[in-house]
Amino acid sequence: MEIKAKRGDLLATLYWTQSIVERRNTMPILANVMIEAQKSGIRVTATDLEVGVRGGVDGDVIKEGSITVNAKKLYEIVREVPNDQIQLKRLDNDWVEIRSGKSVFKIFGMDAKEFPQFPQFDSSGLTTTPASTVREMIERTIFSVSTDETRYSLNGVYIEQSEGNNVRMVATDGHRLAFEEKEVGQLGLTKGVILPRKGLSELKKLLDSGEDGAVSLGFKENMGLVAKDKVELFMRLIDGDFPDYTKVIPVGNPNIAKLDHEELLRALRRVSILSSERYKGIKMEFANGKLSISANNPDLGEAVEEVDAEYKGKTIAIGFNARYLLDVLAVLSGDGEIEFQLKDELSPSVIRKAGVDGYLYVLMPMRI
Amino acid sequence: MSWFLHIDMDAFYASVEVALDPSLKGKPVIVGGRNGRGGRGVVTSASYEARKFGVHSAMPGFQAKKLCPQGIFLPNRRRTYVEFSVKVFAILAQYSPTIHKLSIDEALIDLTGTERLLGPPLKTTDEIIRRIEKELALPSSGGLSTNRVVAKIAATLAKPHGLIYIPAGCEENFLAPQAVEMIPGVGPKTHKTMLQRGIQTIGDLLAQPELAARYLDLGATTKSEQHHDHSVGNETTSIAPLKTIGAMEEVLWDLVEEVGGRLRHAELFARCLTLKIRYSNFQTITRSRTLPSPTCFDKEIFQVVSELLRQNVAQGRAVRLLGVSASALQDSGWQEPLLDRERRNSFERLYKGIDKLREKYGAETIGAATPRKRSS
Repeated sequence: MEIKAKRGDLLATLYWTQSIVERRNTMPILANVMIEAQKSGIRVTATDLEVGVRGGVDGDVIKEGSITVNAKKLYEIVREVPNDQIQLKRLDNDWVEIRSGKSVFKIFGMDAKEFPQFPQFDSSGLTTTPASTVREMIERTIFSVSTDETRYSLNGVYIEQSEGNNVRMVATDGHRLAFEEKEVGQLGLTKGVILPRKGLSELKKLLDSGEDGAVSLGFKENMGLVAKDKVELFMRLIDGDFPDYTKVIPVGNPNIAKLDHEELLRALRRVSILSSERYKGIKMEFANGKLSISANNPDLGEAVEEVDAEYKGKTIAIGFNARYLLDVLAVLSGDGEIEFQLKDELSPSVIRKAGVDGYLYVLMPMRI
Repeated sequence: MSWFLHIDMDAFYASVEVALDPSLKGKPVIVGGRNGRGGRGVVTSASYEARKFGVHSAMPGFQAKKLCPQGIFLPNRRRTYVEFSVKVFAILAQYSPTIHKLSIDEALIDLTGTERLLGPPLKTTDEIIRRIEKELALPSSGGLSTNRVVAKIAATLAKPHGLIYIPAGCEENFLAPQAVEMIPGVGPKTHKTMLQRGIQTIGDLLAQPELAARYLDLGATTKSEQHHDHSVGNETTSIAPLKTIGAMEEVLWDLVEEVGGRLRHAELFARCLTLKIRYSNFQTITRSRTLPSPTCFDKEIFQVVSELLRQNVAQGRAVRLLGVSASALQDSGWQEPLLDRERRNSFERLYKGIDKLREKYGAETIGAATPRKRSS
């Protein structure tokens, strides 16, 4: 195998492999990227078996073949080489020579035959949809995914086909739940599946970069498949039962409060300075025409702030984790009105934003 | 004006044994601490005749035997004592709607507002103590005061078989000469620090208002915000060494029910649960677990401690003692779970009901349906 490429092109594609390669050394080859040189082009692949990425690189194939080398080191070398042109060549015994200008590196690799198979992509089976839609749905749900590894089925975002071309994404960590439904297209899902957090955050990173454009999505056996521009991503679905989220979303909470997004956000940030580090507990008292937010910390002191609210329901004093509120306000960014739908101080509340119809956030209170 | 009567049964288990077998009257009756070859048990109750020899409850059986060789050692019959306790409380219930069951043999009766119906509280108190003795052949002692803590201290001083009445306005005069350790909640540690500060009597304590407010708030008429206990625990030494997980879990259930009941009574939730295991060779291990959501529900507590047991108990080794304790107690300030909400709500209702039944009819009225043997 021998290739020649522009430093910038190779670096851009290697970038996607960096957060995917396995840090824990369970299988040494998973720390490597596979470089394949074929007539059709040059491809770079990395995987930790749960998530995988493959990207094309513009360049010249001098001799066909393939090899794997350490992903971190290759990235660092390519980043630092002095010349814009870079040349990679497989030597005997799986060594790889990297030349650029006056620099020569020789690092040892491993045979590409040992590298795990990448799933077969058939791009015709994928659904193409605006990248911005998918990016937004991920952003508005992924922050609610549980980080508790013992709650395996909550370690990802649940995705299911809804009516028509609508798709639902739901995430919960057992304390709060984020839900969004939007028109995406037909994903070919007969039942809901759980996408792992790592795969989704890679996908979000991919969608964050560059032009909005379109992204292609699809599912095959126990894999989620994504293609955008020259990059393909796969993720292994979480094998578990997502809880019945429809039972968790309260319907008809009678007490409705409407608040200015920005004003609420700033008040919460200030008051939560004095909430406890661990639980970030704050008290919110909704009374006629106003909301009073307070924090009381036996070690520090107390804070209170009043915010105007459109509210006519009964007086409710309810405790919340301020972090959970700030999380949702961050992803619903922008001007507008935030709506709280409350029942009482021990039941879950629903939070929505005016103009963001398909989205809702369910938050269980704290005991105060 | 409020009136509180504190009733404390005298040497309750021993007295029940005497009531059932009058030939034991006047003899040194010792309940518990007998347990055959090993003599491993502890004394759970000793009659006043036995106490003259220095025998007291919680004393190891062999020591009691040494102090009082002529003592009449009887096995524990908890079920029988519970039956008698229920009868005592049935009598008390005829005098007031508000009765706090403090333990199997101790109660606080709120006599406030009963004067018109029953006459002066002192007369009522006298009648209660006499009725318990006449109908059940059980001696008891009482303390009557406008303050619940004073009533408790009075009842303790009245023992055995006495009644102390503190007229309204005389509370401080009554308390002043008493030792500070008489105050409920002042244990050996607090007592020591108080002595270092030169506080020996309750009078000394009352002279320092800020300290008095912490340990003895005479002004408080209702249960106000209390200093939380650091932990709630319960342990039991088994009569015969436990060899199977099943037998150990039977014991655990009893411990868990006690701990859960006490947590709920204090309206507290525990974030941390600890299991203590002592093997026959006295090697002791403790294992704790911190919970994602604090609990006070027996079923959840049991699930955790039985898991700790199964993970940590050494296979094939006999266990002589098991203990369960709950710590990191809180009454508020944690995130409620969203997903298990319905289950927790139903637990809350279930255990409220159970506690109500137990308060009314005794601890053995209702228990969890587990495959355990009934205690005899």
